[in-house]
Amino acid sequence: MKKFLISAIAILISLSSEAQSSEGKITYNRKTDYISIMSKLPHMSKEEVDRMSLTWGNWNSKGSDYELLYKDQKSLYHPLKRENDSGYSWKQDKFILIRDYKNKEREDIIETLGNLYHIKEPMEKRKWKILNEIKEVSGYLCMKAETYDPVKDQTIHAWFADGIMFSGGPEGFGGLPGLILELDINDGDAIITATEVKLDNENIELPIPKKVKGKKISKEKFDGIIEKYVRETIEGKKNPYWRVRY
Amino acid sequence: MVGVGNNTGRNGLSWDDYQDFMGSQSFNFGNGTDYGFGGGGGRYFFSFGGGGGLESSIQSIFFRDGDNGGFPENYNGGVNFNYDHNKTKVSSVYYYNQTGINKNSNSTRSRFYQQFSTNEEAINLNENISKGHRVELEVSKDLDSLHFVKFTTNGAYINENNLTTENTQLKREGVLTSSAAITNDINTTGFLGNSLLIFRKKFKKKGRSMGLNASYLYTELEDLWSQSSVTDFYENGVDIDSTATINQLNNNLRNKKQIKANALFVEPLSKRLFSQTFYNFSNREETGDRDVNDIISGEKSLNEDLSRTYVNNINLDRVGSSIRYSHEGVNISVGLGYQRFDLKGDFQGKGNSPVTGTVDKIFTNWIPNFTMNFEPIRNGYVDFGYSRNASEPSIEDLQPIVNNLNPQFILIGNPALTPEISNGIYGSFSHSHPLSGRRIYIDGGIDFMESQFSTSENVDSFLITTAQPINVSGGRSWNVGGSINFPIIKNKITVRTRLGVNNNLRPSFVNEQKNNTTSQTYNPYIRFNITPVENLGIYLTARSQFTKTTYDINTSQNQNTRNDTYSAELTAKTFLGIFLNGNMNYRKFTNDRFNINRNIPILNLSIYKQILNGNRGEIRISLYDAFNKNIGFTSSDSYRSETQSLGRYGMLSLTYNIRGIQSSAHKKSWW
Repeated sequence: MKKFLISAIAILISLSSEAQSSEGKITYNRKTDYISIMSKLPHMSKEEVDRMSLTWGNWNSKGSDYELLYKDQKSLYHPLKRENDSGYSWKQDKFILIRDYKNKEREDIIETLGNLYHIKEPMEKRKWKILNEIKEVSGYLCMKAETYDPVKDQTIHAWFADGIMFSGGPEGFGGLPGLILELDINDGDAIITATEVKLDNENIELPIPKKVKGKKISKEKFDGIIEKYVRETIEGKKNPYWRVRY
Repeated sequence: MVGVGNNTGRNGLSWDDYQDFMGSQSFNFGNGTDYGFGGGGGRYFFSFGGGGGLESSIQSIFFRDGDNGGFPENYNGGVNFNYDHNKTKVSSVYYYNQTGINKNSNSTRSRFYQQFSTNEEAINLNENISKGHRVELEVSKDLDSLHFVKFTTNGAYINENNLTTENTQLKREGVLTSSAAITNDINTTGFLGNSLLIFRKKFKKKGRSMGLNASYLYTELEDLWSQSSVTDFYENGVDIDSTATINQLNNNLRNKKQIKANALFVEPLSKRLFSQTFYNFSNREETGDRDVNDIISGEKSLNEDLSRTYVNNINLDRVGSSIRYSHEGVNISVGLGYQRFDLKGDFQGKGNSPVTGTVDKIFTNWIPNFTMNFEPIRNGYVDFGYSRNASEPSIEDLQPIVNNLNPQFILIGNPALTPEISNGIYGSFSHSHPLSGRRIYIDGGIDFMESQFSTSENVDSFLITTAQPINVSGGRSWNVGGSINFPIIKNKITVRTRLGVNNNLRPSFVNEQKNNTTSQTYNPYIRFNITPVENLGIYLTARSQFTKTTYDINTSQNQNTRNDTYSAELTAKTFLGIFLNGNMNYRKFTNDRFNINRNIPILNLSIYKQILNGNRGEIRISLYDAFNKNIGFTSSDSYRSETQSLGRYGMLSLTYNIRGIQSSAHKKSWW
């Protein structure tokens, strides 16, 4: 009996450690549907929205690629360098989101609206509601969860793989019992999907920058700046999301 | 489908209407086919120089700008069909365009010589009707993720009638030397056919790509024109019983065939270095058959010296290569090209005319190129570069054909012309600060002309000018400008302001004497957008153009001209959804040398309201030019004209749009 128990526990431990993933490298692709976003702005008339869809509706964008690296419950999310496809290069804005799920800390280095902002403070708790749907993303079975962001007034749906035991995900979202492989912001306005998932044996080192030159600011103050800019731009009958991340 | 007709010259198609008509094919302009320097073949050569090609007489009928004055009558209509599915796009358009204009104008042209100056005063009546049909078909397909192919073909047919009658008087220091009555009646018909095939390939190796394209163009124009003029000469203001008469019936048939082929190859040398090589080939053959018949006592008689047949062949080969460094927003490109023009022409008079000649010229040029752009600070961009341009002379300018459409100003070609070469440097800096809404832009450029196209004029004692195109050295132009936009109160009061300065030095020859004409122009501009509340918008603009022109041949003719435009627009949404709009545009022209001080105030008013369910309709009453002052007025250092124009009129318009109409007191702008 004792032997059976020991072997049973050993099997259980080994099974659960198989579900544990201590490191990983996931590539995500983000596509933003500007026609859908602009059609929700209050100053756009139906005629203008229809004209936009007619002219630009069929233009296919490749989207932009991001990378999530995680090791020992700490993750770093940043954009991948854009390839010089046509021999021309644009400067990419700095965007690094670091999450420490063990110590519950967050660090954001974001270049936007003409400044480089550095946020470093304890992680806030996000309220998720787990829903009944499942689907496959990038070869993994995922469950759906929903949350609401009051700052940006966005409903976010996340598809997380409970088979990968890491609470993180793209765009700084996390706190679910599995790695988030797909995010859907406001029903298709922006979709971030995992295109390549590489777990373990990757010898990952998180490229956390040692010195950050940015303006130190709290998340609350940063959200206030973004919210003010979005509100004033919409009041001015323009689209704020050309400059600010949706 | 689209259809519009108007006789106001105003209420035609807008960019929104163009987008609604063309749909997903609205902005397919990125089809430059002559590859050049720049990333991915980005910098294209759009024209070979040498004057607008024959086909531009046909294409220009469709994109005619609003003329300055006159009484227009325009009709446009078309049908567009797009098929846009997955990787295949098909677009077909048929378009008809008819523009008519009746103009009645007075003009004065001044010319300055070393010892004296002349004034040519003319009364000009012009009736022009142009009609054009255009058909286009475009098919493009992504064969797979690496290959793309596109085929376009288009055809156009035009018919244009242009009748001009002119009465001119030429005065020297205010004393009459000659007067002429001229009538030109030209009927032109022409057609154009053009096909283009583009192929783009991306290789498996990242960054390696290739582009190929080939095109064929054929155009034909036939002019039938009758030209008659009677010129009387005077001495000390008294008629000296000397008259020159021209009474000709001309038939001119011209055609052009052009084959072009272009290739581009991009090879990545490392992650940050690319090499790009391109080759452009073009061969165009232009033939002409001009019959000039003198009408003597009602009988046609071939003028063998003025009649011509000609065959011209212009061959261009251009090859170039550049190395480009691209990394983190820094792009530097250094390149060198070589181009070779081979111009061959044969012309002869007709019958027993001894006039005969050939043009056989080869021009070769090295064309270096440098561009650099980078982001020195956040949201700040710097762009500068150097380029060298070489444009070959047009065949018309090379052939010594006499053009006597205006018997007081005769043009003759010059077979000794060489290409016009200029070296230019330009730079710009722009910066925006999104949180404050402030934007700054500064730009500047300078062009040095190594051999510029200019004219050599010879004026005889009767002030008949004979002009010939020549090359001159020493010309240059520079420009510098800056603009700043910022809000005084965010979303309530915004200011935009700009100041530009241009300086242009152009040498020319008059009676064998070199004359440098320098003009320096200042263009200040300021605009206030005032939107204090949702239902009120006020827009105030002031702009000026100050030009100081100096002639070293005759400094007493130096002059300062100034053209100002002030405008104020107000839109208000009042009770019951009724909109009121008023737009006042005040133009002021001054010239100290000729004592010109002219003010033209144009006030347009309208009142409108949306009606029907879902705001699908709009009823509008408008009054244009309330003060009845509209006139087409042009004023520059050497030329002034006044053209009768459509004055005050009222209009009742009803609009229906199935998607609903949304009006606002505020104007929309993208940024």
